[in-house]
Amino acid sequence: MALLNKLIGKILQTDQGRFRAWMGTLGLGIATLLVLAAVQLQSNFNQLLKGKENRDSNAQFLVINRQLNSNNLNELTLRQDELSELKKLPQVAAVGIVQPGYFKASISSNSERFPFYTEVSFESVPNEFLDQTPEKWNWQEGDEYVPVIIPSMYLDVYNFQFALAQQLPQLTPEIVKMIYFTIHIRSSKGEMQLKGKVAGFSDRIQSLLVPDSFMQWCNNRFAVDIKKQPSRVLIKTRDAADPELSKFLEKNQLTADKEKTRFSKYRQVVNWVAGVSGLSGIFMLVFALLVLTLFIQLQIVRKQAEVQLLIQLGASPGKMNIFLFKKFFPPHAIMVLISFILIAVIQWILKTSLQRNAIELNTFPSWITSITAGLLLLCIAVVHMFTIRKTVLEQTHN
Amino acid sequence: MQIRLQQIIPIPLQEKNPTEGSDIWGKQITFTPGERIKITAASGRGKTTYSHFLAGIRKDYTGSIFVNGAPLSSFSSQEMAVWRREQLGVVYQDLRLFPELTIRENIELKKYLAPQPDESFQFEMMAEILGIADLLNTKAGICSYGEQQRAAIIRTLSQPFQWLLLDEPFSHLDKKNQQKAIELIQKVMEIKQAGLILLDLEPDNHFSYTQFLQL
Repeated sequence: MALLNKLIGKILQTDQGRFRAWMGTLGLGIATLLVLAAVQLQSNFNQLLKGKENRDSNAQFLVINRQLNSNNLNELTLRQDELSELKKLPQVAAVGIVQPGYFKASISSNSERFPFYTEVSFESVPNEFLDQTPEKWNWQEGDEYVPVIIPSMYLDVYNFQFALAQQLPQLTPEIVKMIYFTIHIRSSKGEMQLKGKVAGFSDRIQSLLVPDSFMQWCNNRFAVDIKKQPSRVLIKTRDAADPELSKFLEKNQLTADKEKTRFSKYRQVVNWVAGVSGLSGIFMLVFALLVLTLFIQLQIVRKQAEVQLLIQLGASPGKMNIFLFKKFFPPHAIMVLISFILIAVIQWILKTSLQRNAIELNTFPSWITSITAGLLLLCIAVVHMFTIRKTVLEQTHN
Repeated sequence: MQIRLQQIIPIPLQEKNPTEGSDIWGKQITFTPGERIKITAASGRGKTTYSHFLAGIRKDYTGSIFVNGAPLSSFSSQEMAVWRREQLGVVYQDLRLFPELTIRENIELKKYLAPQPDESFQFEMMAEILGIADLLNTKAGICSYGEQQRAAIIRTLSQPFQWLLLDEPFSHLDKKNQQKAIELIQKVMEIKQAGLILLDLEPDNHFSYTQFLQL
């Protein structure tokens, strides 16, 4: 068999068209490199946004309210159609109403050693939107105290600004949770006082939160004018950096935490770069495959008499196909392999250099890049097989 | 392996009334295994065309050729490959050697196209008999036509076959080399118990023919 292949190789050997073959092969290499780079770029960006190493759970929750300007100062609420549309967005996993308190409230200290008083407002959100649910997070009439969740930032402001300025002691979260204070509630319908206690801290929601049951009870009892439509909602999003979400908010004059959505700008740039790279790669791939197809056809047709004679002598077309496939395919398969190795090297360099900035990337190309390389290889093999089979068949029937 | 020709008429010769005086064109004729058939024809009567029809290289004819009852025209490309490399040995009039290969390589190529090459004959020995042993490593393209003709005969005898089809096989051989070639072919055919179809311009008694036909 080796001798037969050597002889057939000798018969079909030609030095003509080598330059075109090399150009086609190089083009194929660049094309696969561009396609694989586009896929790896997307994978890296997804890893940066969603990967466990880099994940910021807060980025997945956004508080959304209307963007105020001089024209809509009295239209704070979100319309029902806006809420329905928001729920339908593929990026939105859940929507929770932020319930405001329609009454005046203040809190004051019970301790003479540590006096304070401040006007406040409360909000409540469904439990599933809390970053941590305290042990006691419910309230019913007659309970000893009302649990309150405060933003972690408040304690930081107290410890690192207020306490230093006022020469007051620093407080740990555990100590704060032990302090009872008085909640004063009043409206034109009456007033009352209740005991309150900090039950937990939130990094996600920058409001004083009380249990939903308490908020409903207070609003029923003290609110004068309850708006049917909410003015703020909390959404759980699969990707806060998704440009489509930002577009929706902008279109409806809504706003969210800019810090959390700023990645959408980067994402748009990455999408654009990956798109251009991927599209150019696909165009080049199609073009390179066309050149290679023509090259293969030309090589076989140039050796038409030899191919025909081989078949007349009894070489089976199937064997000829396999022989020609082995002749033309390996250099192109090697080119795809080289492109993949290059992507792996670039990925390793990226990982090493970004690690210094505490950005974690995979050492190796993603599985989706590997699958893409495999699919490209398969596609090139199919194009080779089809072209060779078709051209040899034409020679058989000539 | 039986070959049956049924009203074969080459399309290019249709206007020349080829059936007139022919034992083959437009007739029904059967070649039984082991037969030795001599077909004689003047130039232009379609000897080469006929050999190409049998080898399945050309299909521009009306009528049918049956091999063991199966029409040759319906052979798949794989079946046709088996027919050409294992059942029908052909020495073409134009020899059909690869000029860039040596005589040895031309013979080996044909021999090893078969999945189970016929090892019962040493082609070097046949080359010795026909006087071209010292040319085995010479490119076919630079050999004389007579040398190429002997190489083509050895190439065909080295493959397995049940029928041997020779188209003017000795046209470039002198009497002495012609006789050597006839004896070699005779010997190989006897061992393989193969049939023979010899196409030539003139009648002859090179082999003990069972049928003499006019094309």
